[in-house]
Amino acid sequence: MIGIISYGLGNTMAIRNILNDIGDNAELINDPNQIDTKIDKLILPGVGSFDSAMQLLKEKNFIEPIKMFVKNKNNFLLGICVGMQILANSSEEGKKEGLSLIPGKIKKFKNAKILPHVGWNKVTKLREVELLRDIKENSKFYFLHSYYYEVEAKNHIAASSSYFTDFTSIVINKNIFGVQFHPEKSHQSGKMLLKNFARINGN
Amino acid sequence: MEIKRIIPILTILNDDLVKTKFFNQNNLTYIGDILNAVRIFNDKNAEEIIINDIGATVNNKKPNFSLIKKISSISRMPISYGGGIKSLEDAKKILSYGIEKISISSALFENDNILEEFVSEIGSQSVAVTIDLKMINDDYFIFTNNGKTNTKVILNEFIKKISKFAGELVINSIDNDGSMNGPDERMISNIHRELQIPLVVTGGFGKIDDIINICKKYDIIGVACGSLFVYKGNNNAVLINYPINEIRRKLDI
Repeated sequence: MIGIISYGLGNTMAIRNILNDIGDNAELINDPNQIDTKIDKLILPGVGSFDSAMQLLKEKNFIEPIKMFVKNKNNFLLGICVGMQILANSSEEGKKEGLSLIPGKIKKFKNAKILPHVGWNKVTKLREVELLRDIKENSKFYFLHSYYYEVEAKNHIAASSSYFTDFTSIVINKNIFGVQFHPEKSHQSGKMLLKNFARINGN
Repeated sequence: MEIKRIIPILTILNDDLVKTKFFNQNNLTYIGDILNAVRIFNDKNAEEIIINDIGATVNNKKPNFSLIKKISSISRMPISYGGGIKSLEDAKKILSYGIEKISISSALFENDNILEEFVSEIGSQSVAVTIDLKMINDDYFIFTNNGKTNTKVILNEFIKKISKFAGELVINSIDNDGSMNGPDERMISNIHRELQIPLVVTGGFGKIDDIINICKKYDIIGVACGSLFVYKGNNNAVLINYPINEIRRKLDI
């Protein structure tokens, strides 16, 4: 079953509604103890700043349980927006340490004339990705952010987008996924992406 | 890179969806049920939506939290909500429902630090500033209280102050509101030149070509339409519409 980490940031309701629509049960996870053996997928949403996300995860004792969860290769994690960015080691936006699950650093767009980057923009896959299965190449998704993920290892970059510069819009490290855009607000393509995540099979 | 945001802008008063003209409270048209309208825009794949409660601040009321929560739970579009937000507590409550962005307007003129305070707590990407403008003797002045109160603040000074903090600026032309006679292009070019945050313009868009015209002139722009997306035909019959495919085809993006 899919668990949606509910730590006070991000649109947990919209994500749950979409998963329900496509016939998947999703449970809101308010307490780390709810991450038990029946949960094999976790969604980590997020809106707001890097530090406030890490602070809330810490206060609610989610950090170690999330790290433990992804050690089992049959479990899968999907970070959305700031939920993706905190998969990195650190951020220019704040001082706190990230979850350090996909090596990299969050940086502010330097040459962007207008920030934040907001609106629908193209996502171009750099390799075959299960998350994008049955989604038309270069489909648009909804973005809202001023910082991007500078990924250390090229093989963790799954898709990129462009806003004054090219940046990583999907990161993948084995069973850990992150998307910079908001699939829960991206209509059909977003719904399809969440469905693909729900269908990923570890075995 | 071209980002053109095409956004329905919905006005609510006493929980009903209404449409104003020239901000005149005696010239309101009842459009329908807001939840129903949100569902229809969902089905039409609207890319974003702006909802403004014009009754909250003037009647000294809090935002209608239960209605906002309902709207958020059915919406599959990003929402920006404005109306009656006076405190960080209000803003956080609304964001906790999954609303992407809150918008402040009159509160900016009552509390000098509110924008900075909001942005440091909830991040600039979630805070929009909405202003209603009217031209007097060649200067654009900001009005609050549904166009009734002149703050005497001139637009260009205001922009300098807010653009360090806000995540977006929405400008509405009081003189063009609901007219469907076309937007105030002078107002738009005036602001776009100076701004380093996303700009959304509204007021007066009466036909698809008005949108195309503005979108072609600016690389990164948001166009918000009220009347155009809730009325149809020469007699302005109420019919919610969102011809995004036609717009994208004409823009060739």
